[in-house]
Amino acid sequence: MSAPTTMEVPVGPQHPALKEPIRLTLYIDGEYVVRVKPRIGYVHRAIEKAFEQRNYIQNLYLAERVCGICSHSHIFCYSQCLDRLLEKPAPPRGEYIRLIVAELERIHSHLLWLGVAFHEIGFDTLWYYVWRDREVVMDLLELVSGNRVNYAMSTVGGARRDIDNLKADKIRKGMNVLEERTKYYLDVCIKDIVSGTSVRRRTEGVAILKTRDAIELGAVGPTARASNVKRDIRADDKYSAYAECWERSGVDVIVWETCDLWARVAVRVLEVIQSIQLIRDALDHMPSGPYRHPLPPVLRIPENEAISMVEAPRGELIHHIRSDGTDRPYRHKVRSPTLGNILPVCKMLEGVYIADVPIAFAGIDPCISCTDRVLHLIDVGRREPRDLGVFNIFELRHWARKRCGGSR
Amino acid sequence: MSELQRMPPEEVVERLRVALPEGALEEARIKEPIYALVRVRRDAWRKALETAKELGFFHVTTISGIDTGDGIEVAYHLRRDVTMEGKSYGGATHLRLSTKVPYDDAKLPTATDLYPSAGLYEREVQDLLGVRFEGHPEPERLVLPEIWPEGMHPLLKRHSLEEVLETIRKVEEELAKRKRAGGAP
Repeated sequence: MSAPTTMEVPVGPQHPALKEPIRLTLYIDGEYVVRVKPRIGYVHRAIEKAFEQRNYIQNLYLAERVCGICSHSHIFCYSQCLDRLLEKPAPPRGEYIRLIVAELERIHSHLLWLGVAFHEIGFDTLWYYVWRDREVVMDLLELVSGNRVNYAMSTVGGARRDIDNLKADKIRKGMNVLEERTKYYLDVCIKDIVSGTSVRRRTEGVAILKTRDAIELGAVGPTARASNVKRDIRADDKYSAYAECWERSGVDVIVWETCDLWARVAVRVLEVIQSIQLIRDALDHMPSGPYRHPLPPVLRIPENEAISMVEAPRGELIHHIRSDGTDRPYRHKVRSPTLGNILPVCKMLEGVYIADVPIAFAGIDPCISCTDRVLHLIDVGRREPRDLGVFNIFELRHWARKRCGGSR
Repeated sequence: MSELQRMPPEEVVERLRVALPEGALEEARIKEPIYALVRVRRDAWRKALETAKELGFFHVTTISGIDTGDGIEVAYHLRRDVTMEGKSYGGATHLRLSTKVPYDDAKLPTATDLYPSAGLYEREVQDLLGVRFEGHPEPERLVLPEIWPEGMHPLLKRHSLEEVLETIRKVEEELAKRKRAGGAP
């Protein structure tokens, strides 16, 4: 490729992949992306400063609201961190309830992503199917917690509500339905029984992230596992009830060797089945006893430091707290998984078609925070960088279909 | 296989103690079964990171910056969970490796040559706590807007919440003014 033949395409802050603001400046050559430069911060809500202003109990509510989709992961991670600061583990039943809700949340999040991914590749029928089935798990979450979004199921020293036998039976029934449906999606996505407009043909070989790049750039969660990196906090750290459930239910970290978008679809579908196994195991072996330690009216934590990590649906999540003896954290650091996946996604976008950018970017299941719709293209293939203007998602999708000759 | 073994945090601390100059390890604690919390002297910082990488800590989870009242502590959260080929050690070890810098000389050499994934996190710490990372390939703003005033780092304890909110209001006004004038936002 001769000298300056690239053009610059700012994608976002409002952009075509998911509905959250991030700006990706794409340097393109013809129809190919050459390099990507990210810029985040458009929805930075200064939550870490806010944590320092509130007491530990108020922060339970704030932690849950860091993310709307993986809200339980945050409160799980935060309450586990508090348990470690207090050096008083939660009772086993509480840990099991936390695990069950975390896995229900993983199912809902992965099914949500699958729907979005099918929509991005123009397979809207399957999108409707997946989101219909997602309602099964949403109903279960509502059954156990009373809420569809912020479940408030975890707290300092255990779980906030119990899961009794009646609820357990309903969850088991729901799992049977979901298992059958997920196996159907497995057939559609992996075994390729539906010919013609197949998912595999559209996603195979798109947006490759090699194993070594994934490790060097710090990919986390399903994105890393789809690049054949055996990284899963549940298996590595064996935190909470995973110490017992992981081995007993016979699951293993799911990795996929193709390192492309297809791998990311496959890993997530397989992880739904894995979550179903974990939930069944946890329900069958739920210990009796209390599910929560009583809470003091004012929670003061002596000077201490704790790190807590959980595997959120999108990957490793860390809460790091330093306490100073008061009822407020001295410093509370949160790193949500998407930030870890920004550099890897920039790498995987190199070499893809512009029309594949939405689905390739959506491939990491980004969770930045709200409303991404336009793409700004700059042509680097000419002598003078040329601004091609702003494109919306419908034009891009149309472009993608045209390029694929209508078969995809 | 012996090389695919989980490394206990005690061993990590011991290896660091051996590799670093005498007295460079200011603090070393073991937390839970997998966490090693280590603070090193600033002059041994680079060597400590290199040693960690040699020990197989390839993953940077994040970097927390902490305003301790007498300086800024920069803590890298490193993880040893997979080999470069993506194989699992069968269990992770977590190393919180930190060092302290004074307010009036808040800078550290960048770790991006050893850990490319640290790039974004270093920029985040640079924005929010004002620690400069020398040699960073892209030292631009990451989370704060371009027109955010220099020297105002919201996570420093000396800036109260009110002060930060006031700055946000001013920046928003300025952005709105630029938008009305028809320029780029």
